[in-house]
Amino acid sequence: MKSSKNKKAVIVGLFSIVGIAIFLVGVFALGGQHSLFVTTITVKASFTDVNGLTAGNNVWFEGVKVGTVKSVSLSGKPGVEIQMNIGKKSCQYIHNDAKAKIGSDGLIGNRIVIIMGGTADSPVIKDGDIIEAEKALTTDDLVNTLQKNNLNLLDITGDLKTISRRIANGEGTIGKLLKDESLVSNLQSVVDIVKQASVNTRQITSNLESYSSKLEAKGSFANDLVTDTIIFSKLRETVIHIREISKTIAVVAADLQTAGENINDSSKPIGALIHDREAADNLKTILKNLASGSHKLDEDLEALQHNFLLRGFFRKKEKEEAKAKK
Amino acid sequence: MEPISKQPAKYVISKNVDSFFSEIYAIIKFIGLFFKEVFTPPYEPREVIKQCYEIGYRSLALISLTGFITGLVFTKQSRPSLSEFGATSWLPSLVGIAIIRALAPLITALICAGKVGSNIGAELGSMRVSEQIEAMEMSAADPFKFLVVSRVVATTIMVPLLVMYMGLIGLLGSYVNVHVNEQTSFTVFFHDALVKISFLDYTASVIKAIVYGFTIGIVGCYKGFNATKGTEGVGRAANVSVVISMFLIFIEEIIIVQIINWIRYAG
Repeated sequence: MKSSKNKKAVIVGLFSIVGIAIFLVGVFALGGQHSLFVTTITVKASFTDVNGLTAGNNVWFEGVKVGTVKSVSLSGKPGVEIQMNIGKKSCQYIHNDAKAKIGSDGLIGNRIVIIMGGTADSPVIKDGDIIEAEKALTTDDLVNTLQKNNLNLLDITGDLKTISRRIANGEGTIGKLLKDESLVSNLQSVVDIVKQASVNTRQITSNLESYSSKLEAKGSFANDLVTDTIIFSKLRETVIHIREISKTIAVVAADLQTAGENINDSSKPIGALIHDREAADNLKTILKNLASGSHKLDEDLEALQHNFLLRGFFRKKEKEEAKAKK
Repeated sequence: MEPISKQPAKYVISKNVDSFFSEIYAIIKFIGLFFKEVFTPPYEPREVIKQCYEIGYRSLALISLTGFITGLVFTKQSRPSLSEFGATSWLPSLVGIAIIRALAPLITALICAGKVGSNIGAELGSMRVSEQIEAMEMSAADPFKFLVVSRVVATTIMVPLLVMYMGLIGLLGSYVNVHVNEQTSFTVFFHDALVKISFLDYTASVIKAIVYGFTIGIVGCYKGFNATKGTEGVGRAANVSVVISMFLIFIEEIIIVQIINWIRYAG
């Protein structure tokens, strides 16, 4: 009997301890999740609108939960002041130029405070610091934007309605295209032309292909032209020579131009010769005189050949010439 | 303590109204006597341990099975609605809130009201009609302390512990279903299940469990201790204990939830 009572006592004790252990595990699990056993600092921020944020909502920094909202209260100034408990371990990563904004945990989740930014040059946050609040996009803002989009959509659909009505009535290019049969035949002919052009293009492409294959064929002139460095250097030299020749030609042309200018200039001797009528007449007279002089000189020389002093010389010369012919 | 079966010679208002208020007075007196006796020595630790064993340990299997099935079925039934929104990842949170805030205390209390309340009512009722309680009084033993205080203390202690078991096993049942369908890990499931639970919820559940345990014990003891009319009265005491306990549990649930919500939204 006594042993039975002891057994019951042991079982009840064990049962109670396990039950209490479950209770304590629950307490610590909840405490861990709500950071109840973590030393924290309090940081403030002031928002114009907190969108239903309440005490106990989470505070995130770079997507990591770092604390909870301690209190939300209407401050005397315009806006709502919130106090946040942030774990001391996380404080070393948050700088006091960081900004806070109200967000939501998922699309329809609880409100959260999101701390973001902050530069390494600024000191880390400490108890009592105030962080700058950033205005978050509210549902009203979204609805207003959607309303604007709706109005735009209404305008667009109105325009589309007008366009489709004009098309249906055969107005405008597309309407005519649908209604006018001559346009269809024109279009058909355009399509034929395009088809022919595409055939030609294909032919050109094949020609280009064959040309490029020839270009790639080793030993051909084109390939040598492209690939042979000696030919290329010779070509370059030739081009240089042509360039030099063209320079020389340019100089000659310049000289010729100067000469031409001199010829045209009546003050110059040659110009005077060409352009001065008096000088031309004189020259003509000189030439006449020279012709007459030469004729007379010819007669004189003929006479001189028959002169007794020189007759021997000329006979001797005739004999030598006859001998040379034989 | 004497049973309340004495008929007065003259009624103040009417027979039914008088008996209703007399009953209220007797209940208050019974509860007051309990609080007086519970802190007054001599204590009955052996009897308390025995009752803890009967009430707590003997109910564990039933509570565990019910808790596991509750968690499993609740998850299965909630899945289609959440899948429509692609929100099956919220199942652990939903089940966590449902079990810890409401189902674990309420179902445990209802099961205990059925099993333990009827047992106490029937046991004490049979002792009353077989005049064992009078015999104890005659032998200078305090039947109230020995029978009532030990049982009410045992139910007040054991029901919260059973709620803890029920919560854990209910969540395990839910985990089985979630793991089979979403391959969610144990750690992630329990993290998500507790993420929406606040300390207030947890404390409220414990307070509810204590109140329910006390209610089950006190109602069972009162009805059994004041049983009349022989063996018929025993059955009646057992039956009425269960019905009144359950009724009171629901009333208390409404009141406590309302108080907790006031605290929640006032803070």
